[in-house]
Amino acid sequence: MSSDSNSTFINPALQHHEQKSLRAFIPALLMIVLLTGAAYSMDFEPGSSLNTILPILPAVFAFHYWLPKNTAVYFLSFSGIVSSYLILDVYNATALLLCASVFAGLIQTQIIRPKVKLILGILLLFLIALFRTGLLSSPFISYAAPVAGSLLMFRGILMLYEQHYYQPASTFQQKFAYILLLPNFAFPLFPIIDYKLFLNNYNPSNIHAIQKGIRRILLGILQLLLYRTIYLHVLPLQSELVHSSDAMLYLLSSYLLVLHLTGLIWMATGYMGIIGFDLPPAFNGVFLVENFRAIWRRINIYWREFMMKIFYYPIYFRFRKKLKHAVLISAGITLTISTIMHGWQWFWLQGVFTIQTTTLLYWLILGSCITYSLSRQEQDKNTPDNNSSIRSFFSQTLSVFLMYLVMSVLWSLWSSSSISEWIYFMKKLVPDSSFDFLMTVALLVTLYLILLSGKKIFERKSVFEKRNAIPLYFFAALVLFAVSNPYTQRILPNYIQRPASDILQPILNADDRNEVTENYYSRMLSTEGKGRKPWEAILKRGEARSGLDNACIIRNDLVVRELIPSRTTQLDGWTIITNSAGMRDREYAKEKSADKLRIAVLGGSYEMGSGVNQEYVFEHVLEKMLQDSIPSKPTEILNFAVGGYHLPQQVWVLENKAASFQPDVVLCFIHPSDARRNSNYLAQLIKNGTDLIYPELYDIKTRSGADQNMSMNELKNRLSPYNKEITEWSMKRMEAFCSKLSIELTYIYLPALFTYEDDYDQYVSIQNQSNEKSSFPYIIKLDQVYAGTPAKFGLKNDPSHPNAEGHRKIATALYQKLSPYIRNYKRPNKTTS
Amino acid sequence: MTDASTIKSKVRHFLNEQFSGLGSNIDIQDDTPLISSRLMDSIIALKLVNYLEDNFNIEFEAHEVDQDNLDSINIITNFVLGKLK
Repeated sequence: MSSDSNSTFINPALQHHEQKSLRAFIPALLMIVLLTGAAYSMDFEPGSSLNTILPILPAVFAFHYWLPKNTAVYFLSFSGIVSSYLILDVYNATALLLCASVFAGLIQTQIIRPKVKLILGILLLFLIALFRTGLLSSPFISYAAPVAGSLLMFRGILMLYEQHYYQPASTFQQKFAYILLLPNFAFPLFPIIDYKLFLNNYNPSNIHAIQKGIRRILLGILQLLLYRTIYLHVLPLQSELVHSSDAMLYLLSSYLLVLHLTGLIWMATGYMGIIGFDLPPAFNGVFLVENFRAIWRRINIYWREFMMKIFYYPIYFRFRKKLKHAVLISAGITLTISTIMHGWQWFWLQGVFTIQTTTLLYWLILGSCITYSLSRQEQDKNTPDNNSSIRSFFSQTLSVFLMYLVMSVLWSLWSSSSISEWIYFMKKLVPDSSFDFLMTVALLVTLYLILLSGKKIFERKSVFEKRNAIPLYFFAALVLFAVSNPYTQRILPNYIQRPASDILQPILNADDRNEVTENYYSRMLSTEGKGRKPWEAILKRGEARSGLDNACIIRNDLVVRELIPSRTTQLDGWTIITNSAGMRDREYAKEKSADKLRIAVLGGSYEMGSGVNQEYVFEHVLEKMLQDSIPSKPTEILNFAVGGYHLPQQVWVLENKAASFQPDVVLCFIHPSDARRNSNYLAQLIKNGTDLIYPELYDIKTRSGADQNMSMNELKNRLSPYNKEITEWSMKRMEAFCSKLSIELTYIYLPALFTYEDDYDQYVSIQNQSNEKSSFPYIIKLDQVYAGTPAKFGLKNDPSHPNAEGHRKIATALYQKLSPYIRNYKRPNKTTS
Repeated sequence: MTDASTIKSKVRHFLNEQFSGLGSNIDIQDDTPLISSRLMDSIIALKLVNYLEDNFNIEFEAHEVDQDNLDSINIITNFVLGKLK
């Protein structure tokens, strides 16, 4: 029995009759403002609309609270309409509202029979799906399709069902409001609230629901912060799992990443609560369950009840008198449908309908275990649920521990892209030494102790659900607001600010950063239709970086891509103009002037100036700064950078392109975690069967045992021990090449936005030998270039890349470091190449 | 003749049997919420349906297995009486 739903803030007899009052309203509004402000600053879902709608939620609550109930339902629709126009542009928002109106009207009308309504509803969704796949397209409404499809998909089924069975029938207004409920835009895929519950449960002045909602928003935020802490500071990188203890820690902590989902659902149900819907809890203590029956009771109950109502009960009732094992057969069919429904969700997210074997196996195993557990329920007479002996408590905790292990293994299966990849990682759990074995045991013991403590705390959580916990919630909301707000953060001491800052921002760990970068570029190379863009690319995020494929030639070797020469490519908010040599730069004569200092820049997307026009790129700004301030040493800077390039690619660019322009100086830019990304890059090349060109890279491939038929995760894991070797080879080869041609080579270590990672020291140690004749240093570190406020210097729709101001900062920092060397530079007598 | 008190008595007996088998000591009143409080899950709900059908010679439809008809002993009783008319 859920203690959450039985807790009372006020006398239950009053909860449906309490008069609206400022005494209740003001503290509630204040807490909602604090929590919403904190959630906004922390930006939990950068790819979604959550941060677009969060700022209006306190206002929605305030208006909604005071409106009469019969007006409040219209206000729900109004707030949904406003949200549509905030999240989407005019055309797409209008298309969305039109779809919602047609759908609601179709279900509402009495002149069409139910079966015909179902067919027409399916046809409408099919039409929207054609837009999602790109088979139909319009220059005006590219975004509306995935949003409309997601909103209508399951909500439509629920509305049709209740229209058929529920009396009295609901109005068009209620249907329209249900589709456009404000939290739907941040959590579009699955309805947080069942349609019947929406109709029956709504009470805008239910202070009990409002206070419970506030508590859930707070707990949702705390779960999301815990998720970020585990994700950034506990979860090992999958690409760097070496020992069984690493693999065990990965196994146990990756299951906890479910906190991401639970936190969002708690926030969503919390926001439903503040607009008057008293919803049952989902995922309540889901990590502390003792058996599969308890998993069934505590998982995503909204999904569970949707599947039970729409599929399981009708199937069961059809078979129960005809088949002996109707329960199991109905469960099996429902499970299959559930898997298909998940694939359908992915279609709206990714534009592709897909069901992976591992997903299918996961649901099959989990569903079978749950069905078996439930069928044994009546034989379980002596379950000591409230036996208070110590022995019983430890025994229950052991059950919790074993269930946690089982669910972790199942979760690892679901997370794997293939069964062979899953088996590869499961094998890593086998200890390879006695020390490793002891470390693994120590981890398991630690888990047991954590679960034991967690169980004790969970059993006493009702203490926090009473009325006198409200000041505690207010204090917690205030603290969250203070630590997350960039203005109040400054007054916090450094020892709190710095570690807290990681989890207060949407930072990716190294594996996912590499995944995002590699996925972006491999999507660019994809031959799939342009309509098939991931969700976040559709919803405006990442648009600045899409379309780059139009500016590139694709190659089947380690170079991968080159900018097309003499081409102007218009992207979203910026333009790439290339010269006749394929550089994103002005024209330069191949032959160098005797009186000019020629500098070549090698780099990736930062150096290419992804997201900004050419005149703002730091290379261009620096060139002008040098020309203006050192007229006696005319300097030209040639930009050979291409987005997504890694060090091995820079080797090729130096030897095959930059050298032909006879540079005096080469500046090769490197960033934090570049070394780690080498293995991902090489893994992608091997997976694609690409020509690696250099024998040294082929040798690494052979020694690692990497093979094209392996999964990407396995390839990355095999190649990650060679990251340092790849980096060293690249840097030393460039050094030797430049030395032979008397070219000055300097590595510039440029920090990235949104990461505090600093692996500078590993590059310093690579220098082959000190060259006393060099006029330029081997490596320069541009630390403090963003002066502690990186958020200010990132692009609006791609904060990981610098905006114009950020480029100016980089140019200034480079000028300060390089200008003394440039002033003193004297060209040596060079051998010709 | 099946009357309200007979129905209540049988339903209470069934529920007590189910919940004591799970080790729960809950005193179920006539208006104790069953489904909305998550006390009765979907499996017990189906067992209750079978029990009511067997004991009172009524027939449920799939869409009738829900909170509106099964959320408390009082509600169940009224639903069964409605079916019997």
